[in-house]
Amino acid sequence: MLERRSALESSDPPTGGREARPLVIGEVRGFTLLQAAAFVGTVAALERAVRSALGVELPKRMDAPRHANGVCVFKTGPEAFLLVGPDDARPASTAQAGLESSSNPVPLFAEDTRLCKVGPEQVRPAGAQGSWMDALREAVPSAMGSLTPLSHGRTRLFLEGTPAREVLSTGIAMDLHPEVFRRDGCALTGLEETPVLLHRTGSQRYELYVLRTYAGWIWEWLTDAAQPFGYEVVEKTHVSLLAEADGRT
Amino acid sequence: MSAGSHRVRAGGRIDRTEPRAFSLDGRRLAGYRGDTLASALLAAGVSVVGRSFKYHRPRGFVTAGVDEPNGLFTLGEGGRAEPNAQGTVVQLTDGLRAASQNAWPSVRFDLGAVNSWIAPVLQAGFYYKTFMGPTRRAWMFYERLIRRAAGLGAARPDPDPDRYDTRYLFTDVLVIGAGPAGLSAALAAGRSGARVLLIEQDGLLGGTLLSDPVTGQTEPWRARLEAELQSLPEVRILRHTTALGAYDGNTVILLTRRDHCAPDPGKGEALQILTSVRARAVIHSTGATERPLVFPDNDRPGVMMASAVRTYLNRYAVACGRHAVVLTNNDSAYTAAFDLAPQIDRVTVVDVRRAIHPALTAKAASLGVEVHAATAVTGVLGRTRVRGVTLTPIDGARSRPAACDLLCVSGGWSPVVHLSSHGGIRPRYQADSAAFVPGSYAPGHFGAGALTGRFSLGEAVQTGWRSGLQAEAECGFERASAGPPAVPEGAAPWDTANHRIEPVWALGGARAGKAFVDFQNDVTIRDLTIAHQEGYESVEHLKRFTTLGMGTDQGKTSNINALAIMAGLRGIELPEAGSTTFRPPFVPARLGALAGRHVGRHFRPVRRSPLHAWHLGHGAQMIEAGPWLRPWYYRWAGETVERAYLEEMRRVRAAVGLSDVSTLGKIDVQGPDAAEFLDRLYVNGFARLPVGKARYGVMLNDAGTILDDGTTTRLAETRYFMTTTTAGAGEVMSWLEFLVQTAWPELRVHVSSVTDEWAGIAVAGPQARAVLERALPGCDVSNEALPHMGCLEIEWDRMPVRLIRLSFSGELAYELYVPADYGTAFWEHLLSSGEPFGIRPYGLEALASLRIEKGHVAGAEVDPRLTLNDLGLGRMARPEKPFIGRELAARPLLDSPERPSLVGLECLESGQRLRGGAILFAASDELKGHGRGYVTSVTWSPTLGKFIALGFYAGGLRHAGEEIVCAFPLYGERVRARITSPVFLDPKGERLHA
Repeated sequence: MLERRSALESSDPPTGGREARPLVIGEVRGFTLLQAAAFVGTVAALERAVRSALGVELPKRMDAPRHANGVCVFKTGPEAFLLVGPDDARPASTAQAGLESSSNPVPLFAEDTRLCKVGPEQVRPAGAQGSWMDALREAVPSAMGSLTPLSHGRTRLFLEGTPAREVLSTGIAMDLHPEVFRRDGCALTGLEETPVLLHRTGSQRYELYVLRTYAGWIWEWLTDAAQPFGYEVVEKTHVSLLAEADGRT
Repeated sequence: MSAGSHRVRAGGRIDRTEPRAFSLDGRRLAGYRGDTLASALLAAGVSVVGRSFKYHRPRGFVTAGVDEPNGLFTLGEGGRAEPNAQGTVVQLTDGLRAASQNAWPSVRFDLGAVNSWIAPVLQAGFYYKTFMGPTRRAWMFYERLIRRAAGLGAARPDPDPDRYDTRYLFTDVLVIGAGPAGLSAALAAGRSGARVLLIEQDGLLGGTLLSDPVTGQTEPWRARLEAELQSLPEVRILRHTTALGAYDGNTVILLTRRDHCAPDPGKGEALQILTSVRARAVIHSTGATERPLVFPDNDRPGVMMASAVRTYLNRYAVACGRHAVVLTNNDSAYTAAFDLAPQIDRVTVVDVRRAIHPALTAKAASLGVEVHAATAVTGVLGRTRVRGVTLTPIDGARSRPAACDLLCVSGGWSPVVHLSSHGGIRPRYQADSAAFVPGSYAPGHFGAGALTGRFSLGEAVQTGWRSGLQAEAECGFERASAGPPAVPEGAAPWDTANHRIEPVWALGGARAGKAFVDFQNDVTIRDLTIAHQEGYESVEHLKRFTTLGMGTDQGKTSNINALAIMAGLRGIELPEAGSTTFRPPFVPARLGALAGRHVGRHFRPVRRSPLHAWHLGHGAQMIEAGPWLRPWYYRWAGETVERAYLEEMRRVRAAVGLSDVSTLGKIDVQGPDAAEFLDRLYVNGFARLPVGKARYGVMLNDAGTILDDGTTTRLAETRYFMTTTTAGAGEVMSWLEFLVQTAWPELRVHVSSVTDEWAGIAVAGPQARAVLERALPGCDVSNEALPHMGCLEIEWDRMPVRLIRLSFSGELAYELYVPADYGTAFWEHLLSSGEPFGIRPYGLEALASLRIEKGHVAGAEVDPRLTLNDLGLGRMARPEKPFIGRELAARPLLDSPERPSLVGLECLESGQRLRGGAILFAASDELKGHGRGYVTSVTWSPTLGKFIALGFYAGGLRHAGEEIVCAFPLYGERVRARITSPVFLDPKGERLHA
């Protein structure tokens, strides 16, 4: 099997700025991202199909995702949605093998999801067997809508710590006050002239989905913007660390 | 080092335990923490700090704030040098190096002062009339000399090493200015729980209260409010922060200076921060500035604003003189006189008014301050320092001199209406305070304090509180229960009377000596008179003719006096004269602050292919291609591009090469109506394209000319994979989205950019199939299974691969697409599989040259001015089906056979070359004008052993075989060439069908 490599595989620097490093930044790896879109008039059908296949509702609002069973759904347009879930490019046997070695299931998203770390870059919903992408493909015929895999086309960055909000406010023209951009809030917005999806996944934790080919550009911006506060880069595989952070909030 | 001969022994807001060493023009001086550069210089007895703009007259500080016209310095050195910094706002830091400006060899002895002797000819309009008049050349000659003689600090060419940050903030209530009104407003809004952003250009909160004695009655009040504001969690205070401009949508741009923190750019610390604030309500509590009076020689060092003298005394413990004359037309200057009286030898008040409030005269008497009513100052003695003044009674009695070393002036107060006027709201003249106040406020904006033309402390607190409540109501908050904070006791008796101003705009009439209106730009009453005589009536014209108000201070001290004087000359009332337009920025801003972090490698977005890191690690020389960085050539093939691309081309033609084509635009087209959608989009048909086949397509814009080209592959009945040119990807994607959403919403089709999702790799050359057979064992890539323009979608090693056989180079070639994360590993896999066949990577230069040999159109030829026929692609169109651009493409002129159309060119002269952009002429033509065509793409063809080119020539291939001339006038070149078919290589396509 060929090796998957991140858009940031050669990015530096690991740390920067002051001695104290109140900010942790890094890349989240090991997820699957899929765009699902209905045609005019087929949104209700798509909603039923997604609910029956994955047990998750499609969000009605663009500023907050819905999630269940390890899948998080963002609304990105009147009939368009982004689904983020565990990596399911690998067959179940690999995951099973990994699962046995992992005794430490940890939540990746909010309250209701339990994910297991099954390898350096993989997570699966605890107990889940089949591929959720396959389930969705079966449930959504081409007349109902389109499904477009985008797992490789987006790089998922996170930043966490007291200054996270302030760092983002140096580039994103959005009100990030915790009472306005609440926990688990999301927004399609712009950062350094590129489109990004911003998701607040903890009280002081944010994730950014950026276009892969601009990931280096955004990474350079992020490490530069974080420099005045001091930051530390965690290795890309630290799903558990993210989860601990979530557990705190 | 002493911290100043003029320093008062006690008092002030300076910290005498923390000295600060600094230098002016190399002279070592000292001040204290809490000083400004100006206060430290005044404390040291430095009276001349600069030379004036035009006449090079010695100048001293006039004010103690952002309105300072004279005290400008260049701070720092090299790339850090900041010209035109106002000494009155620069916080004194240890090691600060200041240099005076516009004087040579020094401010005390300046050769430029000769301008003063020839001053009569240097009046308004002089430069234009003298140097622009006779010939344009005269100006070209004199301009350099004039620019050197007249001017402010110079910009430096060195890169600025400092860091400038930008940020976005949001708040419920923005309060601009933390004087008594602003503090009161912020507290009213803050107590309700609203998010309040209070900004103050000073390092301390309090505004004019900071000029009161520290031991006075207002200080506890000030400190109490500051403490409460700091205790409110949703109140944020930004000090050293100035509002540069107010814009639509309640957006205000702020500039925060951090010089006093000595920021280290190496640690990411910013020198300045530019903030864009969006507020739900904005409170303007910007206060007022004192204005000068206009009289002969009113610019001598030692003539200062009365309020400034008081600020220097009470805040910085500096006595600006020992014997002060206070010239005023209103009550406010008496405060300065009374504060000075106990501290210096003698204070005399000269008041142009006849009637003076008895409380003032009584207090003056008790402090030993002499008061001359109905008297004016009509002249100043001394050149580099005031030595005395000429006093003239208003009723015309005889003048007499009076000795003094300080003249404090108050001509009344001008509300700072700049920000409230930025939205286009003209200020309104308020006669009782003889001042312009905001004409109105934008929705959600409120005014408070001295800005409203009401100058007492009580009114400031009241209007501040009221505007705070209005602002919080605007944001939907409950009103705070308690009332406004009580006004401090012992407010002055003249407090409520609006200073009882008696407007006087010019004193001393036509006496000798220059009476300055604008200090910074050296504009005098005489200049205004000339402007009037020349017929300039509009204030905007007056400004541009005299340059009044066009300095770095933007006329903060001069505008209203000038308006009043002009109104007097025209015999109209001041409000009729109107006012000039207020525009951002309120104070000068560094370009660095506006650029923020968008400098160097952060200048503009950079897009990188999934294979980027590999290229860098394997000898690729990268080149910018739009936002992308692409491999230009690889060092395996040569150290220079000229050698390398030829070697790379040879490898492709003779064996096999691979190149990164991930930058091509990739669009996923899905839905039951995808085929219909593409049929409407492309000139050629896609509906009947079988699944598993690719087709080259061209799309027109709705004007009927070329938009883009590319290959689209049918992956399934309802799904296509479109590629576009690298350069056209963004435009095509937007165009498709536009069509789907607005033109054809009934079509069930989705378009999604998948450029980022897939890595693209081209494998080209006679051995390409052999490489794939080895790289993808078990996958049948034979000519039968995968013919030219065929496509296979396979899963290889659990990874999806899209394998499309198409050729840009003219060789047997494939494009392989894999999910981007696998790109590098798959590229390496292809390289190792192809090793026995000599596979090597090739870059953009070789890619572009290979396609020229094959005659494929690309970037330079895909030109929106051209038609399908111009590109020789007219036969592709299927006019029986409707497609975008079909009707307008049929315009007769677009169909003319004499339009320039695509041809090939081969160079006929050895030792000569063809050039892109060359103009084409027939052999018999005179080489003049636009010629018959032009060259778009050129390469040396290693296959043919000569320079070949693509270009457009009138009449096109009807002239095939003719010998023509390619002219490049810029280099004086003319080269003979022959018109040929644009397909130089393998016209029958045997190679690519192999």
